[in-house]
Amino acid sequence: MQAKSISGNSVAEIRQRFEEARATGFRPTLAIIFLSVSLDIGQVCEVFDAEGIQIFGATTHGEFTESGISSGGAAILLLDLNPAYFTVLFSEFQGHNYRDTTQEIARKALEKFPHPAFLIAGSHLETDPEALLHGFQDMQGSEVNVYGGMAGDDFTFESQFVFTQGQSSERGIVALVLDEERLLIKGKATCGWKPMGTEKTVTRSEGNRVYTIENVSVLEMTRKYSGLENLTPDNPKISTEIATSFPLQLQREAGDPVMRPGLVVNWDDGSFLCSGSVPQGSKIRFSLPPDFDVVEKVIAGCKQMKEAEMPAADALVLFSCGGRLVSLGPMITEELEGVQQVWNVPMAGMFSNGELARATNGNLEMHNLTTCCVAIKEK
Amino acid sequence: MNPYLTRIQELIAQNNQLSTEEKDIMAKAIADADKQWTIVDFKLDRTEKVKKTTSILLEETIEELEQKRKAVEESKDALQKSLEELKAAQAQLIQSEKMASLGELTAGIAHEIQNPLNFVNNFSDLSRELLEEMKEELDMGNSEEAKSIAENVRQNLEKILHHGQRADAIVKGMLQHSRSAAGQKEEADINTLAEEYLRLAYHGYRAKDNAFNVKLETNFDPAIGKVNVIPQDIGRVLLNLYNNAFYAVTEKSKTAKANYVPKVTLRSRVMEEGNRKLVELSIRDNGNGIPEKIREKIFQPFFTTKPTGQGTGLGLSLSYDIVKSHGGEISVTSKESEGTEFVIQLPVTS
Repeated sequence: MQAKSISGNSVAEIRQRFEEARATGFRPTLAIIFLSVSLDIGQVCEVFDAEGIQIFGATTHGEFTESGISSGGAAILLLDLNPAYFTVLFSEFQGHNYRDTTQEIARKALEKFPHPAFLIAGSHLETDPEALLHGFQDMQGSEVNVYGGMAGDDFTFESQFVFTQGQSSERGIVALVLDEERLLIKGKATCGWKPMGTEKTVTRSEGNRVYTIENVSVLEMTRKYSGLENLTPDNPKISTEIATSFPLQLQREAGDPVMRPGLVVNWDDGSFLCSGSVPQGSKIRFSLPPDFDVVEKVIAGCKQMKEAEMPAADALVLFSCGGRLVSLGPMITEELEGVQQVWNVPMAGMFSNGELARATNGNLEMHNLTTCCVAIKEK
Repeated sequence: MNPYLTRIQELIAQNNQLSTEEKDIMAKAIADADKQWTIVDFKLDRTEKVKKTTSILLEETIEELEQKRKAVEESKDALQKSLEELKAAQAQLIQSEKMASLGELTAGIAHEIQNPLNFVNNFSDLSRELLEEMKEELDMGNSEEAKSIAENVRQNLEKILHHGQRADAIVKGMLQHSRSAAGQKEEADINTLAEEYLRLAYHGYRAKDNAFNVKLETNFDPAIGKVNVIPQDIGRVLLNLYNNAFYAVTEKSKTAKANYVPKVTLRSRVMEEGNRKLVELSIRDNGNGIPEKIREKIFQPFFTTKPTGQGTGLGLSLSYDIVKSHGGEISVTSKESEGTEFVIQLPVTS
């Protein structure tokens, strides 16, 4: 399988890069598209749809290829994968039927392939990503390979989209189904945020929304402990500051803690809409960004995966949390370059609102503030 | 770009002595320096923020931990107080149980004291009459007859003394039984102790219930000899087991067929287990038996099957503790509707 990555900041530029890639005789069948909400999804899709190329797409908080990071543009991974080895499925959520939706996707995938693996992207901040994972596990067991991310919107936290040819949705899921008998697909998420302070109890929450911790509004708690200044609705960067500087770390009875950053503040009741569900009664700790050596740790983790499971790859797809872009600042480039150089193959990735993968020795679950690296290789 | 680097970049650009190649190398070095400068700047800024947050969190955490330490201290004090109250309540309960069993003994004791008292009264009366006769014989000068009567009086007085001492022993035993302080171990004849308490329990039960009737059977092993025990404590254990046995047969009498004969059997024997010599006492009744589902609970404190007010639920629990404190074992076997057997094993030298 051959892969090429292209990027562009406008539809015209994307078209030009695509044509340049085709000029070498390269005939892709699949486009993995990560783009800014500022671009016209329909027009971008049309570029590839016109050539009969299937599309897996999501909007982002920023996108990147091995050539660098862009914001307000698109990062596209083109693959000339045999169409018999994959399919793209798309579905819109009806109410909160997240689990049912992915059960149905898994059912359809099983009709086509005996052992399907999935790359998925979901949209909307209220979506429960763990319910999406549970749907796949219901149909294929806990060992099913599912990797992905939740769509972003250039940190506006207003509208996120997933899309394929002819369809896009603010409350939906796009799934790239891969035949594991023909393709090897491995992924891993690495986090690095450190817990800080004492364990506290979530005294009121509903789904992804957290109202109170120890009977104090989560906003007040953040104001008290975080040291963040200018915690007001007038601060345009407030959401990213809260999410990236002072995320909640959900403690669990079994397994490692998972990150649940607050994404949107409700200034009336002081609640946070978090990335992922936070059950009422659960225990949380506040957390601080990882040490600067986390970049090396992520790269080392990928090297370990390469040695143990994936000695070669044809292409890389990365789902990196938008929070990392903010909290690692200029160092994020080092991280992305380092990961790409482990296999040194074409790569496209997005800065997301949540990552779906396994951490080391962990269950398949929804993470935040991680980098999830997925390597694909035709057998 | 950093203004200092920008200035250097400008100076290089203006320098005509440098070749294009050299300028390119310098431009790349400046770009790399700028990148590192940006990273260092970022790290410094983030470190400052993290430092600030960390210090607040640490301060709050220390404060919280201090509050928790105080709360733990207060809880500890409260627990200590509760423990002391509990110990006092337990001591009171044990004393109440002793007094309750003493109450059960009262009728039996009265019965036991009545016998020596009758002897004392009768022999005193008889002696008084004999002394009158002796006086008459002396007046008549029949000294031989008077001596014979004096001998009878002496024998009577010995009997009075014997029965007086018997009554004294019963009263002392009663006082020992109700004493709150722990007793001392002493050499005791287990067969006699078991029989005495069986009698006391029987009369006590009859005093409460005129209709109570039971066939008592005893089978003592004379080879037992004396055993080192706290007699009043072992007495309390036996009293408890006898009363339970009497209760069991009484309950069965209420529903059993007419030919049912309530029976309680007391058996003792000496046995050897490894290097240890043990004394075994068995109290068996032919009552209703203990249902299997509650058999495990009967030695638990406050567990009782008796109606409210009739049992404290402490009897078997205390019995268990007493037997254990003697280094012994207490066990139960029971068959529903056929009866129950409690077996106590005590080491001969504990």
